Amino acid sequence: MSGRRWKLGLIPIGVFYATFFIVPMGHFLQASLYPSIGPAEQGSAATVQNYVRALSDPLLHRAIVNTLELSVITSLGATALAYPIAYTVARSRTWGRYVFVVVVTVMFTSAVPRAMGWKALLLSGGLVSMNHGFAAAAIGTVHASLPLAVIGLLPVCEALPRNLLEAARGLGASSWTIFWHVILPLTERGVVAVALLLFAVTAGAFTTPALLGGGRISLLSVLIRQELLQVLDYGRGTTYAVILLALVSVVAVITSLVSSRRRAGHGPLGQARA
Amino acid sequence: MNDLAISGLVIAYGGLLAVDRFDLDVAAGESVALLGPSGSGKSSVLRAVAGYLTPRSGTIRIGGRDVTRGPARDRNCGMVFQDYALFPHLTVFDNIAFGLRARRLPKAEIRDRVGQVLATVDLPDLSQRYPRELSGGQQQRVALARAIVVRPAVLLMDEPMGALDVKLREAMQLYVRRIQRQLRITTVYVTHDPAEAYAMADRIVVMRSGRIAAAGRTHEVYTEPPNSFAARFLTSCTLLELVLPEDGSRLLPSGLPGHERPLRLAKPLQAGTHRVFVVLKPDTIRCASRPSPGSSPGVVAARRVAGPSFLIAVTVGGVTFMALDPSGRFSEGDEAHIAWHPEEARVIEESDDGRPSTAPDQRLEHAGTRAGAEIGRTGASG
Repeated sequence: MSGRRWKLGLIPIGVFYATFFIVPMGHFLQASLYPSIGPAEQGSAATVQNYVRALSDPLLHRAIVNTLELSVITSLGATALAYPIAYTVARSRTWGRYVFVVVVTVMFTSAVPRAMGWKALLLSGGLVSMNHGFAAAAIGTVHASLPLAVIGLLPVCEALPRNLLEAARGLGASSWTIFWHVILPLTERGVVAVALLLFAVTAGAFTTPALLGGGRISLLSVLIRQELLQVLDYGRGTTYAVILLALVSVVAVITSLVSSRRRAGHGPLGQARA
Repeated sequence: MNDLAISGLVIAYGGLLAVDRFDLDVAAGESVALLGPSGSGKSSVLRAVAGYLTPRSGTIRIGGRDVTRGPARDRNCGMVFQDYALFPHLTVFDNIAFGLRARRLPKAEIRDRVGQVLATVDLPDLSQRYPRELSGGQQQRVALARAIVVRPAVLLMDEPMGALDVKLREAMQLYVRRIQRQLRITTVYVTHDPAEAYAMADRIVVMRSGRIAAAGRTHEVYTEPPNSFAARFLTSCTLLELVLPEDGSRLLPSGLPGHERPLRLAKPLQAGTHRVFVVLKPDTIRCASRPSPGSSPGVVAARRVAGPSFLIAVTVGGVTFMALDPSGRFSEGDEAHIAWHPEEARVIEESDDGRPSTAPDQRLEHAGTRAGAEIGRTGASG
């Protein structure tokens, strides 16, 4: 059967994921259950003590809120900025392609020089002299996510049937109405997927927020690195890592549920308005 | 007053000329079919009228107002697309109400008008369905309803039956035509199917390579196609191109396949005539198993059902005749002797670029009746 053959094609990616994601994640999960008894040493009795301690720690609360804020702002900001770019590139046969090349080139710039560039521009002594580390970090992560957002939204915009837009125009709709009532609902699924992707990537991002935040903003990713590489408290570091994964998963599941429920309903121009 | 007036329309894609100096006037309530093979420019004309493309030159007037370069949303055209282009995320009601909401009509009026148009297209109970839950014919009726509910100045239909199967297509043609007549909607209908054009239009404009190849009232272009392109494209007639002697004589001493006796044209050729055709309808060609005086032997190359009888293609020399075989006694590979009477043939004269130039009362006649002496003379020289 063709279905079975199709599934065979999933074996390589399955092996890859099992080796480089599930197995390490299993190790982390396991390690998070053993409290530290010294630098790089853990006790032998499995408890949930690490979690109890972490979840009652105000520093972690702060980090979770910061991480969520930064990820949500980046996800929404980059999606909103990328949408018109992707739409223009998808619609245009000529200069839109050049915009695309310019945007994608940014992606191949390493995170460090990119962040340093922003640092020179934004932080104290720079052109704009921004003293708020969080805003600088957000600008940096939005910039870093933009290419991913454009590449993700491009097929979404290309899949939009042109004659639906023409039909809407012919029926007398303004550009705003067409965007709000035709383009957005029809691309919603893709937009949500891209926004979720950006959320997950930013929640785990370390380099850009660390460099631009100047070490002043506490994020889960920053804490994880601190515990695992500097303090060598493996119990705490792995616990933070599991919490980060859980956080991203919960947001992904909730967003998908809300989005599919909305689609199953009457949609934005529903009968309620008729 | 004409609801739609197109003059000197030129449409080009890059350097490629899609429509070349196209003129068309459509009277209020009239239905005109733009008929032509793919690439003939018919859809480009429609899209220019709708405002989806800007012509290189020419003007388009809707209700007397020049809209050539205006935006699509101000033209008040109703468009039915080949694949319907229904909004998949909206219900039937919301699809139809889309244009009314864009016009910011009061809710009560929107509800009334959508209700009325749903009754007109016989879909009163489906207003809460989504397009994906409808059959092809129902989707097509929703698309029509969405286009006519805004009371468009011009209804534009771009191969709207293309996605329907043959049986449904015939039913929908009658149906759409009835609504168009009933509501007296000025309509431009694009199709590549002559039968559909006959069913849908008061007038047919045949297009070829971006120009008008033939135009006229529906029954006229069918019974008397003005040039060879129209005859080939619109009818199953057989066309024989005449090769006349260079000396200007109108005589065909050995006749034509199917009538191998001297023939001549009754009238002198008009100035500007470069090519002359004899057009024979399938029902004027008689087929027999045995030869008769003047008949030509041929082989049946193909046959198909045509209503209650059969249409057969008989190859005589290099010419294929389309003939009617009411009894169905010929099948592929059979020998068939064909014969026809010159008085049942039509003559088309045209210039090199297909402009009709047929002389009034031009016809074929036996070259042995009135002008015997002349025939003797030319016959001897030929």
